[in-house]
Amino acid sequence: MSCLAENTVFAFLAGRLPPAPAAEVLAHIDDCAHCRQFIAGAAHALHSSPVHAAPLPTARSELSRGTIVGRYIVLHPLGRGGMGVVYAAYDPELERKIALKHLHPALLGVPTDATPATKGDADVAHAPGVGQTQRLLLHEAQAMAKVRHPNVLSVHDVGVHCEQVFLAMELIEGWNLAEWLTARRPSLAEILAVFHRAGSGLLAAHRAGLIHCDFKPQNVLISEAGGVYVTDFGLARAFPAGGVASDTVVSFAEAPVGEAPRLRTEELVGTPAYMAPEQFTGAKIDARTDQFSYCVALYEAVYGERPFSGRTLDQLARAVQSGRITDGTRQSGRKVPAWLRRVLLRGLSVHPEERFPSLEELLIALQPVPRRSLRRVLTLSGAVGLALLGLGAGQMLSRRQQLVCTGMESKLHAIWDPPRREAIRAAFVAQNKPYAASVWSYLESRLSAYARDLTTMYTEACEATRLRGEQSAELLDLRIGCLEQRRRELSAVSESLTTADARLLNNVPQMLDGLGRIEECADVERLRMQVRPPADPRTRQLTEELRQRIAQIMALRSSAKYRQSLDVARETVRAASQVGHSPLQAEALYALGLAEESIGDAKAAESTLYEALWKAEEGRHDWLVVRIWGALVGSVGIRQNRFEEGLQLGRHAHAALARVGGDAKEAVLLDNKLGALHRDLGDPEGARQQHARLLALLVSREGEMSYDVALLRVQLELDLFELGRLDEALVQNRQVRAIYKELLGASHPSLGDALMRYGTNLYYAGKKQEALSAAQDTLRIYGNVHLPQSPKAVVARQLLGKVLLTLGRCAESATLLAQVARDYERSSTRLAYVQAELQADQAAALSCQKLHPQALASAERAQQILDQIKESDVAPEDLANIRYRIAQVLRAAARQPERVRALSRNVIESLKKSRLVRSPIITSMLADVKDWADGAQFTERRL
Amino acid sequence: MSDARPLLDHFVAHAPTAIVDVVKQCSAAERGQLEEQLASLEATARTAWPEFELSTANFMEWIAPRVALEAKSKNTMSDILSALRALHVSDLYLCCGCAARSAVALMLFEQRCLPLIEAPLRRNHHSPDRVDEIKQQLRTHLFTSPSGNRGKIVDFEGRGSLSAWLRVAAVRIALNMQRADNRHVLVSEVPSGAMLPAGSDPTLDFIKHHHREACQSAIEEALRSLSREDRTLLRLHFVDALNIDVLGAMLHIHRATAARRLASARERLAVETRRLLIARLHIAPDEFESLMRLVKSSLQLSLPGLLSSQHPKT
Repeated sequence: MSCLAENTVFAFLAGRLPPAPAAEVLAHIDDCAHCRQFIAGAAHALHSSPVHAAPLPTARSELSRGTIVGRYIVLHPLGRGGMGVVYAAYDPELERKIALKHLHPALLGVPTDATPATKGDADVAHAPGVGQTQRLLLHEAQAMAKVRHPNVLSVHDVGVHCEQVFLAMELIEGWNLAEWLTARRPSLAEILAVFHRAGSGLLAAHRAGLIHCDFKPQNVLISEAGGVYVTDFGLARAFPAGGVASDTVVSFAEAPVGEAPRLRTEELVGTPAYMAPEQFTGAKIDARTDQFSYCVALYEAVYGERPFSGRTLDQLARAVQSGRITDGTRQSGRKVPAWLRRVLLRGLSVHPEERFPSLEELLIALQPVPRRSLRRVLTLSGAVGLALLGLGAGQMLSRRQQLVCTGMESKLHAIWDPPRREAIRAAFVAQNKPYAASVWSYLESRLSAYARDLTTMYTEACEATRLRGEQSAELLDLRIGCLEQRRRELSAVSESLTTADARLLNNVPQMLDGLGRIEECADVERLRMQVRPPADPRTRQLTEELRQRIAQIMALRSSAKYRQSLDVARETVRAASQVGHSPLQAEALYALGLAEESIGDAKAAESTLYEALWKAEEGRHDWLVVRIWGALVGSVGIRQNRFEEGLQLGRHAHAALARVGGDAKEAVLLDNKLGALHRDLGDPEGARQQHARLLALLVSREGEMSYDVALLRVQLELDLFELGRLDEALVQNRQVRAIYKELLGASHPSLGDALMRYGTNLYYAGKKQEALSAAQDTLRIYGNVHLPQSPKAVVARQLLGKVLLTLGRCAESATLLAQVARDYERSSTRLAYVQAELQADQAAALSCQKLHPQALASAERAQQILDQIKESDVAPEDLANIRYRIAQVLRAAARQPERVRALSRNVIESLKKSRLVRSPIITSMLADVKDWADGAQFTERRL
Repeated sequence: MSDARPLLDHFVAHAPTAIVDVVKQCSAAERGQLEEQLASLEATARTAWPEFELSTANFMEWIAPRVALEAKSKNTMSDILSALRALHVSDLYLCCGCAARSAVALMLFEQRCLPLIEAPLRRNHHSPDRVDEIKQQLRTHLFTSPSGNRGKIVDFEGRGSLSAWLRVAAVRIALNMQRADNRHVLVSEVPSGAMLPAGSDPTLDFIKHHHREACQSAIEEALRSLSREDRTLLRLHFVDALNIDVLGAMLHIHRATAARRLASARERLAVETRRLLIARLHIAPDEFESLMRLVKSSLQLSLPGLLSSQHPKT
């Protein structure tokens, strides 16, 4: 029988098929899975009503939207797991969204028809048909609901719905730990911070007498706000003879027909990869079992591979039971400190008695500060202080937290709270730029994340010392000091954003870039290297005030308020010298140096930065030394074109960086500058290699969609252009534009700059039409940002004129170029070669229209400007173009054949230095001038 | 047939021969009855769809071939009349309008019929995008055909409602789509990829390793020994997740009966598997119970897989 026609199925389901064909249908679907699925699907579509759940834990046994479970209304499924299906649900009583976990029916017994299930909700204790398994599960769930801890997912409510146990829990929007690890690629410090909090949650449950039994990254949730929550406590244990894993192992129907079959579960407990040896052997399970699973998860997070390998469960069980741990060098390039490995190996001991006596000990051991004595002193004094406040030990944790460790939130008040955000948004909108909205959303998400990270780390650092006594007060001071500085920076940035103007809007990415990285404050080694704050309280307070000013200087500078930043910087340097704390003086001088460089005074910047360097050396401000050398590379090597010296300074910077232990991000920043120097030194290939290497590094750290990645790609694009590899440069340019579009919106000025380079590239690649639209697109964006006579707009308009000229649209080109030349006269910064080129191209456009007298006049103006130019400052292509155009005009007017020959030879000389030899524009130029230089005589004629 | 029976004439011109034969042999009074019945059908349909009007000729041409006499009927006029009464005539009217490419009919179809397929699809966890996609394919399926003929809309016979018929058609389209993009294996908890060694699922490995050889072949054989009906029932239940309500409705039996049948099929499978295992493993029945617990789990685990993959050609 061939496959069933729709009408046959229709008739079959409607009962209209006579017995014989109906039997055929049934026989056919025994053979044909397609038709069976079809019939089943159609039967569902025609007969099912949403109240019935299918009897087995397939995906279709889900609750539909609107189903009432307890007092909750199901909204939609969020995910499925071994334990059941999790839904988003609404709690009308408290008017909030919650997560509703509906445990697998298969775990609890399939309600069958023979003993009709009690539909709807029932009182837990008296619910008929609630079996042993359910009671146990309920018991566990209720125990879980009693654990209240910031790192344990709150269970609001437990109940039975349609014979299935459900849990109403806090709804966390975010990731589970496994996803977070994959997506974020966190640093070791971040991993430890998150695991520490998960461990605290686990510990709280242990203290309440609960064992998790199935701790794994999938059972740890990380909210968008940075909270860490352990979930699914003890559920695995609720099942008789052990429990079930996410891969549910259940058996069915042992009971005689007609009775509700009860489900049995297999002996396995937990998820194999995270299971302790005692779980494999069925030995007694206790809190140390969780310790083992915790260490497996942490090991995996740190090393990027699991401690035990095994392709089958047998192999895995053997590896676990024999304690055969991988050497952990294969996956991650991470350097794992020896102490951490020691701690992990102990937690992964085969025999529970060889592990840490409790999770608490393990968590303490995981703190990178081996200062037990100090810690004890601290814990003690903390306890005394609280005892004086009259708090019982039981209340301590929550009260202490409220009292001690919420400082950052209140400090962030008015720096990044809703009114402030609204004020900034309003300032942005008032600029009336088409890209204001996208820039705002970029800024908001970045600064919100920054504030969030700041709070999280502050709380973490504080709790670690004040509540758990796991880190020394000295380290806390350093960390808080570091975080305070970050807060000041955020404050300064937020402050200057409220008075945002158009220039600031363009500089938002640079501004965000100027904020110090928060993870530096978790880098213990780095913090240790930080200068100690002055001991004298008066000096200390002054220092803090001045640091706020320094943050302000940086913010002003990155918001393009250069003059103002210079004024504040000068004043700060004076004030700092009165305080006489050399690290502070160094910081103030460094800020002044950067401000001077921003206004274009590289000479002044150079001497200020050297002053800063000496002060920093004097005060052993080692990290600042690294930065100052880096800044000097910029102002000496790049700004003052002292390339060789720049490279020397770069070596100093690298040496200083090595001394402080290295840092990938700093290295990227530095090498990026050095790469540009290589290019300027005439070694674009060296620059390209440098930049490509950095790019790979940066992309692996930050992902593709990062502003820093875009900046590096710009460098690479310039290298490639310089190398004449136009197609590859175009590829980089496209990526750059994609990043800008994504982050900053489709009309941001940065995108205009990228389009400008795109158009120039296309022009040289001979893609005239595409170059035309690129130039037009550039001008559309620039029109919102720049005045017509501003340097950027001039260059873009000039490009448009050139493209029009090569397209033979001479009249348009001539008009445009004449106008640009006039506008350029009014421009504040004028480059002679740009003026010369404007005249030369304009001359060619006029000549093309046979307007020889005007053309000749323009050409002569070009020549006059050219005569005053230092040729080595001008790119060979530009130089060649000016002479080429002059020669072209003379030739068309049949004037001065000798001069044409001389010009042509000059052009040939220039083009020998150009790397754009494969550009069609250059090739045709070269072909022409070779012709003109040799013979191609023409007779001069008088007009 | 000289007396004016405009509907009847059109009707007879397009009716199947069996019906034409009856009409030829019947009395004038009976013909009058038929004419009346046809007129009333037409009136019903037109009242249902005042928005557009089909000519009598067109509508009769559409209805006549779709009247089918029951197999057990004695081919009398009353059989024809009752067959006509069973037709979902308003639905046929709309289909006819659509097939004639009436813009109004097509619009009404779009507005009133297509939305009816959404709910069951949603219930089956098709995303809104997917539902739109299915609707689009359904439109194509119904109103166009590669050969330039009118599409599948001509297949609607008017027995059963158009909305039910459309839902069945939509299910097939949905299934084909799922098959096309291999998505009919519904998502379960996917462990975060990068963190896991590829392709290893130790729990399953464990089960497979220890029980598969012993149990699987016994289960397979036991499955083959079941009747086709039993097997189909198990499949529909375990693989396609039809609950007893739907099974009952589909097989036209009471849900309690469906449950009983299902339970006894399951029992037969368990008994047979057990018999085969005892025979093969040479163990005493009293030792068997401890093994049986393992067997049951593997049965539960492998049954859906076995049922959906194994299609014995017997």
